[in-house]
Amino acid sequence: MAEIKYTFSELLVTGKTNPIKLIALEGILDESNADDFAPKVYEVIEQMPEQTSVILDLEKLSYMNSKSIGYIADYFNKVTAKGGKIVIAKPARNVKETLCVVGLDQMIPFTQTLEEAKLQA
Amino acid sequence: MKEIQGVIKGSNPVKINSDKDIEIKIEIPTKAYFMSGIRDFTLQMIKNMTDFSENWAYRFQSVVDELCNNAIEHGSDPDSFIKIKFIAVPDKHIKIQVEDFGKKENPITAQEILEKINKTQQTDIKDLGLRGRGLAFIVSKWTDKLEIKDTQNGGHIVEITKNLNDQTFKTLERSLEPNQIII
Repeated sequence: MAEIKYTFSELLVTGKTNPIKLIALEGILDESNADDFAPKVYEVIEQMPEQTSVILDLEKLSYMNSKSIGYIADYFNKVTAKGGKIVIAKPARNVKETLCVVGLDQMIPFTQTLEEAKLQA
Repeated sequence: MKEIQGVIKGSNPVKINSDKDIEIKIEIPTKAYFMSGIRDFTLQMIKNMTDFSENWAYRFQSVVDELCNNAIEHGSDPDSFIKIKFIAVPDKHIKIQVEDFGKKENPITAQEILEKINKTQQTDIKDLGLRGRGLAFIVSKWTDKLEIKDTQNGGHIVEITKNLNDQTFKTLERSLEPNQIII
């Protein structure tokens, strides 16, 4: 059975004036849990102040289906509408391939490290 | 007593380089819960039975997942089932067929599915909604042929083909920087 563990936290970055929210995922996002997980992220986005950026740390995410990617595209729209940015950090190779094949790399920057993500957020 | 250690492996996997076609059929209830097992099976089957790189095994895992999710969500009533068929033809191709049995309410034809795929592929990536990326991108880009047929019982058979002599299998270990996926 697919399981997704998530951590939402605030990041303090020297030299950055805008708040940054870190969303770290571990496990699998598929058809069986994508719809249950998405509202939790929507709630975070809704409550965060304007100009807040979001870093999605996908290092420990081992699988992601197209519906989950659709949700990320929707998070992007909601975060940018509030003046923030979204950055995807450390995606596993297969997850990165899937994100790229659907064209998400045309919307959202990917970084190899969390440090790079903080600079772009 | 002296410690004894050993490893016993099961029988060798059947490689798709024998002279016989290999066909595997699976039926699952139309519940997303069962898809993790199908994904695991697909990954191991491709790793063990073909000479595809690990990257292609993961790609096939996504392709099968998307085909089945689509059949369950758009082509099936609750408490129904879908049929998955893996067909390997030595030195030629792998085919995967996913059959659903249709929806009583708001049924969709094969032609309408193909039109949706085409429309999604023509839409700017930033304007796509939540759904539609599975068949339009993951399945279409990672396979050589995608066919969708209506069946007599109101369902569909979606069949993909991946040619085994595809030269890209040899180039997949290159960089995976965004925009550099080799298809």
